[in-house]
Amino acid sequence: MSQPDAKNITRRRLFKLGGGAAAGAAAAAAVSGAGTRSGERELGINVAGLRQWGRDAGQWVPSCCNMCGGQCGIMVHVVDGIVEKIEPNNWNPNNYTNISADWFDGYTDEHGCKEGAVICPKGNAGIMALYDPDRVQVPLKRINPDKSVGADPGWQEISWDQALDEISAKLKELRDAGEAHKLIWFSEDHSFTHPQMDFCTLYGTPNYSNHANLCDVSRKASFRTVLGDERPLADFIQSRYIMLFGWNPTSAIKWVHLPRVITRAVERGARLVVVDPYLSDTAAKAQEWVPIRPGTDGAFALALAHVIIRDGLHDRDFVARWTVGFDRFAEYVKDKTPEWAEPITSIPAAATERLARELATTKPALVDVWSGPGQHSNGVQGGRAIALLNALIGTIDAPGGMIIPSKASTKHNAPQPDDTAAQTLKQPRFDERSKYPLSHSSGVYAQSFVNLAEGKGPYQPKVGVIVFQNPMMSVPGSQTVAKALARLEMLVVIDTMLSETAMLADYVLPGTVYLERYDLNSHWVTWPVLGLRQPVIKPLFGQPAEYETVAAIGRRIGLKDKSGKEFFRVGALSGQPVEDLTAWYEEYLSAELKGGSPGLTLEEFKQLPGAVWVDKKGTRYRKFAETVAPEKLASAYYDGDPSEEGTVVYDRDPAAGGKAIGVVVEGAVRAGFNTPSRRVEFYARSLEGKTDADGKPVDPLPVYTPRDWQPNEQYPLYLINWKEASHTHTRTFNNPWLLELKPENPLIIHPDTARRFGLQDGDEVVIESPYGSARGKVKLSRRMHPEVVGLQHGFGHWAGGRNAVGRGTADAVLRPTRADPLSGQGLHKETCVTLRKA
Amino acid sequence: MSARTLKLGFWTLGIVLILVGSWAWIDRWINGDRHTNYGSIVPWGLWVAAYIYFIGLSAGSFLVSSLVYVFNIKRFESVGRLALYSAVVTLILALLSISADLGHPFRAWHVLVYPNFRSPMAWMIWLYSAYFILLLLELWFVLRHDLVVGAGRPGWRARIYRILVFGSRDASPETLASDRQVVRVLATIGVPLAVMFHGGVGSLFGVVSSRPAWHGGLFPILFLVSALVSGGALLVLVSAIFQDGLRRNRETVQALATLVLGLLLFDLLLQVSETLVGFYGNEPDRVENLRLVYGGPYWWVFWVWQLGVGTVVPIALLALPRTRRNPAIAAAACGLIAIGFLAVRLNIVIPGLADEQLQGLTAAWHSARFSTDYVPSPMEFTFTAGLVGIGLVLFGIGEWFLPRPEETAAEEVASVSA
Amino acid sequence: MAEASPAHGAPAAVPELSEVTRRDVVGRLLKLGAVSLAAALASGASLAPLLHVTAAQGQAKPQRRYGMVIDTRRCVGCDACVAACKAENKTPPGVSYTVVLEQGLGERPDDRPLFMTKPCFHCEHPPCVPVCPVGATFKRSQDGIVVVDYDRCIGCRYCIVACPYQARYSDFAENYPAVAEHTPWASVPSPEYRQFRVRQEGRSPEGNVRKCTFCLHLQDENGEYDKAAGRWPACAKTCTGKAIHFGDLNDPNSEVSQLLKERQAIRLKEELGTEPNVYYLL
Ligand SMILES: Nc1nc2c(c(=O)[nH]1)N[C@H]1C(S)=C(S)[C@@H](COP(=O)(O)OP(=O)(O)OC[C@H]3O[C@@H](n4cnc5c(=O)[nH]c(N)nc54)[C@H](O)[C@@H]3O)O[C@H]1N2
Ligand SMILES: Nc1nc2c(c(=O)[nH]1)N[C@H]1C(S)=C(S)[C@@H](COP(=O)(O)OP(=O)(O)OC[C@H]3O[C@@H](n4cnc5c(=O)[nH]c(N)nc54)[C@H](O)[C@@H]3O)O[C@H]1N2
Ligand code: SF4
Ligand code: SF4
Ligand code: SF4
Ligand code: SF4
Ligand code: SF4
Ligand SMILES: [Mo]
Repeated sequence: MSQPDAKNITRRRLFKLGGGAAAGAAAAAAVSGAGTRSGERELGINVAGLRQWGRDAGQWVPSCCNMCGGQCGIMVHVVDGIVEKIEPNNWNPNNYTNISADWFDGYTDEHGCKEGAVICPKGNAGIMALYDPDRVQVPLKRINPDKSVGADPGWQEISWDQALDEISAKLKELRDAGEAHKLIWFSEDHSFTHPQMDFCTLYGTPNYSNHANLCDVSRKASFRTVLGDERPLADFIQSRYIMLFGWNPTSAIKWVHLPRVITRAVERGARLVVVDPYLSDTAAKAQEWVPIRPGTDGAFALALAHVIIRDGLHDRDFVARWTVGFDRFAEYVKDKTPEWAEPITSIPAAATERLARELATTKPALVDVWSGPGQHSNGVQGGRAIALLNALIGTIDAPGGMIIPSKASTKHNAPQPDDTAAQTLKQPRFDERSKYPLSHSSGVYAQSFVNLAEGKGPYQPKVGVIVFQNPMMSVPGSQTVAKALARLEMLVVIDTMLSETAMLADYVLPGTVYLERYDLNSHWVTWPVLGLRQPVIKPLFGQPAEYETVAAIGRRIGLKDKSGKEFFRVGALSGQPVEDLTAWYEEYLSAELKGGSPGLTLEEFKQLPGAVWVDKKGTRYRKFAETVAPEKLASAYYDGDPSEEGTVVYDRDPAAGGKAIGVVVEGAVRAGFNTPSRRVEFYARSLEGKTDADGKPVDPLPVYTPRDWQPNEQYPLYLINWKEASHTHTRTFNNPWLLELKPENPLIIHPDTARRFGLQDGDEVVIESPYGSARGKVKLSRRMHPEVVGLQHGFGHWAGGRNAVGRGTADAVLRPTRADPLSGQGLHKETCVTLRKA
Repeated sequence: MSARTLKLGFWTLGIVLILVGSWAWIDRWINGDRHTNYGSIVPWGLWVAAYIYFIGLSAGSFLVSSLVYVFNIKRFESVGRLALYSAVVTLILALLSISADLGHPFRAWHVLVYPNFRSPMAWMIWLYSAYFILLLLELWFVLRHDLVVGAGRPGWRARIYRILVFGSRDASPETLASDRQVVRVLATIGVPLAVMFHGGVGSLFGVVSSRPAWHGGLFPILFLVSALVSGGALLVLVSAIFQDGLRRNRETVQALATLVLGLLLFDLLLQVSETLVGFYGNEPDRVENLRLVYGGPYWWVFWVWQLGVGTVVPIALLALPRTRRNPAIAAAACGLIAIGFLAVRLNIVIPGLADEQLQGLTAAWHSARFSTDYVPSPMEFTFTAGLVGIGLVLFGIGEWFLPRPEETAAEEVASVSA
Repeated sequence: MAEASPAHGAPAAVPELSEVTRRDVVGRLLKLGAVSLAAALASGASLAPLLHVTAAQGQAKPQRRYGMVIDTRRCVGCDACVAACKAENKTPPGVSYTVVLEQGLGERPDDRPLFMTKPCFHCEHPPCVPVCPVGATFKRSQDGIVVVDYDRCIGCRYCIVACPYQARYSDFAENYPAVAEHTPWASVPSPEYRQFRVRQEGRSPEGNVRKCTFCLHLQDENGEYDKAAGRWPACAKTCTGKAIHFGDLNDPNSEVSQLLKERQAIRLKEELGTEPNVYYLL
């Protein structure tokens, strides 16, 4: 038998691609008359069907997607109370771009965006989530006291009244015993968070937390320390040089405009460079992929900075006016040469030299980073070094650079706790957040679960509520989480599915799918935009939406605010009791809207085209350089000589609670950045003398230190993970449409590495770390760094629906339950593994 | 083993297979294609292979019968009607197989109402409809005389004969002669028809330019030759066991077997040339297809079944001096050839389809129906087994009910002498 | 719940071509005495004979040739097009009118992929058409769209065999759990060909071959699409990279024609002479 040789394979590929000589020529020939072989023939149509179901029938209800946290705008076609189709909302900028010039180009109120907005596969597949027959439909109560993983909970279906009564009774008992702080609460970070926070306040627990600390709080910490904003957004489309560190935006589509703005940037001539151990789907669109050893991004960024400063390529103007600590930083990177970085990062020094030069000399350029470097134990400092590259090239808040977004606001009318609640609110947080010097209000999940599992921490919580979260799979170290949850006297999970976490609960309450409920979404574009999520149909099983469940429990416990008002019963605008829970929440939202940027009621808001409020003023650049209005300076407090460059200006004496409002630059008081120095900080004085959660001193410079977990003889391979466009976290794995796109997550391994481990494509393997083991299927690909293996996150369910179970590999079981000691970020990409053939 | 136990075994096997198959039949009519394993990449599977197999057997048998009825070759006379009968039985099996394969079998009549003259499949359907009618007519004229004579006898068989003669009473030598005339005309028409329609089946595959494994001028010829081999082989087997078989047809069996051997060698030549040209031409999809046949997951279908059981062993049996002269062994060898040709058909249909039309297709979207892997489902297997059962039972019925010429002759002699 | 905005709900006049139910067909046939035909119809669930309507005579319609120009530089391989097509056409398991190929690019040392979505190419010379024994699949003269007449198709799958691009799918009567378990979604019909068929056991399109229709059900009575009103192929509408350009290749001013003039395009398997109406920009 003849084996086609390499040449033939190439030929074969070309053949199949239709390439070769014929291809080019054929493009030119084309527009000739349409050949008609069959006579005029029409297929019959069904007029009755068209009248009932056609695009003109029923209603198109504008709303927002929540298949992931992207919150993109959608138009939902509803016929006879059935969701027929979900389409992009052409009035929502989030679905098209993140800068206003791009958005308003061709925008009309009538049609919205001219070119048309978009939604991702998950957005399209929302229907299958709504009509998933495996959804939790009625409240379930656990019968089996054995809460170990895999034990049959012996679910008993109970009525809503019984469920709410029993849960409220237990909560009331806890509160009455002065132990309200022993309630710990976990929620998603965008959806109906306010009523949950309100509940915790009124109930009296300081232990409200949300999933942001599993997500990107290390990035938040890095950027906040550097430039005073937690989430600057890259202006890709206007950029000419884009360097991404561990950020996969065309596939981990955080907002659906990203694929467009990034490919459009490249089309318009930008150079896209992706620094990643894996040739991600974003790297597939890049001109250059820079394979890096995991957790060494900081070293690479410092080496880039070294070259830029050494060669004087930095933006001297910007650095001089708008930064502090440059000299110390320059001094620090003096020996952080490309040659120094090469053995750390595995990136050849020559490449670093070239990339640094390209980055500093192509304008405008930007450097962005997301989960890749951030979900390692040295993520925050690495992130700072990366963020600071933007300061060196001077494109912060400038077109084509990293923009500090102006967000649309809603007014959270947070209630004041009554005396009982105020007592327990004084208790320390169970997650010891204060140990983490750059922590985030979302808390520290990993610390919570470790404390709970090991009986540590300031006290032992008794009741847990988990809403719209699956920590069993999304927190590193599933074993710890399982152990922790089993120790609670009562665990309530509100979920749409019987997730791995729900399987450990005492009560599971059916949640709503986003098409059944309200929310306000202040969108992540660079200027103020606010979108409405509204119920396009009534909840399928007659269940209350999550916020209504929370309010109903609040009512049952009889929670009152400081003024003695029954917060969860009294309308936020009318001040009158509103018995209907939905109506109560509608008023709640109305109040938030009235008090926020749009200044509209909910009903008025619904009438906006696409139910989106868009600030017509658009994106503002270089906001830091804007002078502070003289009237604001009337009673200003100058922290030094008012004529000296760099003097920080407060609205009044900071000792009396004054807030910084500007900084003196070029002889005027300008807004500056939201850092203590009001300037970009190469050196963060605020970190001087601080220690991290491990008790180690924190360096005010963005120093490189190796991450905790290094490969060793026993565990020689880095294990990373990522997200792909087809799925969201751990929540889309029962969706049959999405499973057809991606049914499993093979472990990607470089062919050379596979050879070393005696593995072949498709082999079943056991992946082992010191914390656990999992089975996987290997896929050989040269897209992977040879020292690394990795897989798409989210697979490997053992609960969560008939289609989800038993597919692919979950990697949380292989991780230590650990938070980054600076920010409290969950470390999803830490640890090393070994492989053996199963 | 006595003939009686043999017969009993034969009937039992046939009925058991039908019973087993009826489960699949019911499933097919209730669930449609649901429990089949073909899909949108390998859209044709075992049933289509079985279809071209059976239809090949039919065309082959028919062409052998034409040696008697067109070319008047005396040597084969004794198996002429058997050949015709085999052609009918196998055609019925073919049609049953393909009708189960259709997504909408009850719309088969659309081919007549909405003809598409550019479709080889449409032509094939029309041609075998015509062929079917012709076959039945020819068989009737071949049997008419015997039926009329036999209708006079007492018993069940005669009663059926009385229906089947359709009112004809005439047993005179003149009508017999005119019957022979008619048969000759029909058979003469039938030869090109059979050649066309089975060649048509070949071209149905051959015209598909997107399937390099099939695309080529040789395909129709290959189909014809292989029809002759398999049909002939089946006939050898059947005539060796049917209605006193070997006792009556010893010589014929021996002669036919030699013919089959010759045809098989010719068929082999064609196949070898196809393969060599394929490999030499090195056209990627073509080579991929050949590799699938020889080294794919079903390598054994080729090496063991087609080549071993269906080719090497029977050739040896038919050619080696020790075995060559034993008609029973010849019949067995031909039986192996006939069985082996199902593998030939499978190897045409499945590997020809089981390749991605565009590279990476099956990784682009995931569904069991969107895969190059195809193994017939249990339902497909049992369905086909059921067909074989039907075939066996039809042959059994034929053996019981087909008039035996020597009986007629005996009766005629008796009546003349009376 | 807010009312539809005008752009999404702009009503289009509907040509009333025919409005027949199966019962009508059977009834009429019975009157004609064609009992056996009626029986066949009843069992085969066929609307075929009476649903064909000849286009109005003498009306000089402009000949369109709809096609796509897909920009591989913009395609990020997100598969939104695949999901959108499914949502639009309500295709069952095993059927996906488009799939996104991930081609390994030659012998690059990094296995970098190239993504390309692959609907039906609505070939100028579609090999799937002549092979159909009953003429159930045909290329529409007015716009070049290759369609399947579900009521005529016998489900022989010869067209699948003949298509060099694997653009055709057999409907194996399988259902997603949401349909199989009779959630409200089970009553939603597919708008394909404006025939609005609800999935029903044994009824077309179960047992038929199915394929991309360029979403022709979104055309207005003049055979035109309207992007602003959302009457646009679902895959192109949702495409996150805006990689899928759609339009009339016979109109020299259309976006697709312009792109072909300006950019280097290829078609797949040119050597077969099928002349796809879907082009790829490299
Ligand atoms: N489709 C889809 N989109 C999503 C989500 C989803 O679940 N599904 N989730 C959304 C959410 S909440 C988030 S936070 C974002 C996250 O979006 P991303 O930040 O893009 O998150 P990941 O895909 O986890 O990781 C990005 C890349 O980091 C790489 N990486 C791993 N370790 C390292 C390292 O040490 N250094 C470098 N340089 N790279 C490394 C991985 O290979 C991967 O390609 O995605 C959002 N978008
Ligand atoms: N190994 C690893 N772990 C990771 C990551 C990683 O890349 N790798 N990424 C991390 C990141 S960036 C993030 S943001 C987190 C996200 O982690 P989580 O916030 O836990 O998100 P999911 O894992 O999707 O779990 C969401 C749960 O909510 C349920 N649910 C879905 N929709 C609704 C709804 O509308 N209402 C209610 N009540 N419930 C609903 C789902 O069924 C599911 O059980 O995961 C983190 N974990
Ligand atoms: S990115 Fe996709 S899933 Fe996420 S909100 Fe937007 S459309 Fe929905
Ligand atoms: S791509 Fe295939 S199905 Fe589509 S027109 Fe061409 S041959 Fe026919
Ligand atoms: S499956 Fe239907 S459309 Fe395709 S060739 Fe057969 S009858 Fe024609
Ligand atoms: S044009 Fe319509 S039918 Fe064709 S692939 Fe796109 S969405 Fe599907
Ligand atoms: S939606 Fe667009 S970008 Fe995404 S895979 Fe399809 S063609 Fe490519
Ligand atoms: Mo996240």
